[in-house]
Amino acid sequence: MSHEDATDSAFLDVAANTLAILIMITMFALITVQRTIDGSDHAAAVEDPPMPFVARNHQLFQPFSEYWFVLGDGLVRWNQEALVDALDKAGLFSGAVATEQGLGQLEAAGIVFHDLDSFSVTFHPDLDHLRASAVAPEPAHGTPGLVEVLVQRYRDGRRAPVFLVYAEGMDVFAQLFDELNGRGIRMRWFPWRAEDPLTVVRNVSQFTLDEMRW
Amino acid sequence: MVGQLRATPPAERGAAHRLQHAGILLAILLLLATSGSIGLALKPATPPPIADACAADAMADECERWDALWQELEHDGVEALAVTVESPDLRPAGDTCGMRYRNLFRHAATTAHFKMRLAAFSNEPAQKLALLDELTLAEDAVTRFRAGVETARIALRKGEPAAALALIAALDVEGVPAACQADAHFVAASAAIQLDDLAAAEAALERAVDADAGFWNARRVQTEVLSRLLVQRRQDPAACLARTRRIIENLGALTSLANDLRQLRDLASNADRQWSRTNPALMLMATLGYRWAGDPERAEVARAAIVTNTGRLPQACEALIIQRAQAMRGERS
Repeated sequence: MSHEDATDSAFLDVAANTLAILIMITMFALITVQRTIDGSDHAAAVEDPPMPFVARNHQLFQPFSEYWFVLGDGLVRWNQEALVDALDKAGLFSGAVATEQGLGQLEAAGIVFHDLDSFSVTFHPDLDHLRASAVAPEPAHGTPGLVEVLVQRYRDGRRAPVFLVYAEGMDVFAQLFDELNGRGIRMRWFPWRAEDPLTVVRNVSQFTLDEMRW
Repeated sequence: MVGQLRATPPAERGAAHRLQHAGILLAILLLLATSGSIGLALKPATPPPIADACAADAMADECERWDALWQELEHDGVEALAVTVESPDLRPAGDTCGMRYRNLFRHAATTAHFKMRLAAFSNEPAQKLALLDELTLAEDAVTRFRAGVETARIALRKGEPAAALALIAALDVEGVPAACQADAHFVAASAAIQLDDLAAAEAALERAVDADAGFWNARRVQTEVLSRLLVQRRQDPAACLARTRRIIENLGALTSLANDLRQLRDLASNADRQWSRTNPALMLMATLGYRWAGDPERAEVARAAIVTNTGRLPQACEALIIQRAQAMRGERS
């Protein structure tokens, strides 16, 4: 055998052994990979799910509503707590009570005896008074505008605005809506007729259907 | 030299053969890899036979419950899972026991009603709490409990789950109807979800459903929490099977609690869409949900996806689910 032949043979041996080692490494790698994904009860399984679960947003613990009357000259917030105080002071069976913004009355909701806190409050707003105290949504000099105030109140206290928009306030609201839209706050709005009272209720009929509630 | 074959020396021939063999092996390996067949090697082994799946002590009890559930379903259909409650006018969607059932607060004082109504009407948390404050010390246990639950609910609405949990933990349940205790468990579960503690939520929801079988939201949220737990990669096989069973029981119960089957279909399509048909347990939920909502075509699509998506659950659990999926092949109801 010549020296050249012996060198060729040695080279082929090295190549064959290298290939064999490569195959073994590949097999070990495959076995290792298989083990790591072998069933989710394996200790090395990935803990975080690849697809997060996103449920439909049935709001079970709603934000606190903050009602706003939208009129021709601007907006005015319903001082709901003033009515709560007035009703509390007047006591049981008091009938309608007066606040600066209008008349309100508390009633038990429905005849059937359900939850302790079933109620119905009807509020007749004094629109002249509301118009006189309405504020334009644009920021006054040196103060944040209404949009910023609403966004902040939602973020800090989960107070979500509910706009009752009278025909005269539609232009004001259209602009406000555009500015609020996409700011990450929850809001509702309803067109409102001047002669209609505002009724806030909690009663069993709200749960007759599994409807999306605020 | 033209026309003369060159003889290969024996030593070189041996090395060449070894190289040839190694090359063939590598070629086969590469062929398998490129043809996609290597995927077989990457996928987990075939699920173990059913007998093996239930062999472990930890699985035995759960397998028994699993089999019992399917026997009930085979015998009575989905009606086997219907909720039976004593109240004829149950409102399953009610957020509190008082909304789900009548006359639970018949012993409450008139002033308690008045203060609770004002608190419910108020939209200022501080004022709500001030009105509820004296009721948390009321003589009537149910009134006291209800006011306490409401206080915790307000904390949750404010986005303070830890405070809600502490308030619930401090409640005295003596003399309180089970349906009202379910409210407390539900608030605790919701707080745990906000804190991303799914294990605590799972436990609290189980207590809520056990306390009030007619509590729609508890069952719905329980189904969602169990679904989230089922897509987690690391879980015990018995827990996986128990969660799947719970989901099926919930779905069956929801058919009897739902006002119409669209609600059920929503649950099924949520399971169907949100996991891209990759988790056999959730696809089993989608299959049954669609079936019970009267959509056999979609049910069959979901069912077919169960057997083609293996390796997402513990093997023993997965084997039992696949077995049921295969048994359902061709069934229409």
